[in-house]
Amino acid sequence: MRLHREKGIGSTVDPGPSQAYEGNKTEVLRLLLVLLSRQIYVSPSALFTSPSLYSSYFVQHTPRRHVLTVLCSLLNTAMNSSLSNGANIMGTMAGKLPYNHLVFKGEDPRSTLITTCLHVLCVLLDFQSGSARDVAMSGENGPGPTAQTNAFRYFIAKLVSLDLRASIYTNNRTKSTFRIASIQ
Amino acid sequence: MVFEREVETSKFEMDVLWKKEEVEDSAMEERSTHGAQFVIDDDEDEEEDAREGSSNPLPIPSRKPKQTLPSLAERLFSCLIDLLFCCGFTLPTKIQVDHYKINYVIWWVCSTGIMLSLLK
Repeated sequence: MRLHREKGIGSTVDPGPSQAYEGNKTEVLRLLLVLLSRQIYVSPSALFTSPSLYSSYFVQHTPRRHVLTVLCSLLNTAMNSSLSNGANIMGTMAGKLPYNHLVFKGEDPRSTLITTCLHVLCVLLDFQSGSARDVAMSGENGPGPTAQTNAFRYFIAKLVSLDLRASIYTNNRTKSTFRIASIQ
Repeated sequence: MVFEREVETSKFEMDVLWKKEEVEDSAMEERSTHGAQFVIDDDEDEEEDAREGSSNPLPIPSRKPKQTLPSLAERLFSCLIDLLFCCGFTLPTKIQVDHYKINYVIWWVCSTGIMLSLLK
């Protein structure tokens, strides 16, 4: 498996359609989040014996190609966005207050999408109930995920273990490389 | 009104969202149409039938494991993943190829954004 970075497609993006796409992405991700949140309505002790069928199915039976595409899309969106508008409060103290999402309404679609991406990432990467639990790995210090336990944990573990050297192709096709901090 | 917390997956969820319907094998369907002839055993023709050998009206059960259709929950997850990569809905229409609306390309952020792709 190798990693490479490519220039994004399209030189100009209309703000209108882009916002519509971001809104639609957020809504689809919200529904996905609802399906993956079944365990909220179950007592913690019962989750040991009957983990969520929805989460188990999604992390264990989603085709590999879809797992990679979804995972990279969520990471790209959550980590590479630069919020330069004045309405961004994420980096301020107000953004760190609990329940701030109830106080500050009308965030731009980009912020909402980033938040939702992070929610979905947390839910997918944290799931280890039942058969999704990390297994003992030979030659490793501790247990680790496999493609059969939780494919999302498995592939992000591969990302973390790799040293990333990124290439950015500019318009005149010159190449510059820089080192990217590993994903924590 | 008291809402009782459900401990495990309810019967409603299992029956509606996770039930898998079995699919008839096409080969088995052909055997069943030929075999399931409505035979009227006439008393006068009993001896004649016995000499010829009685035809089995029921189809011989296939020993192959029955195939099942994906459950509603599985189809829902598949639809959601497709919608995340749908040209004109979550992706720009300019990247659409012919009539294929679903295009599994990794989301990019902006024009100079970086697209991460994992290839084997």
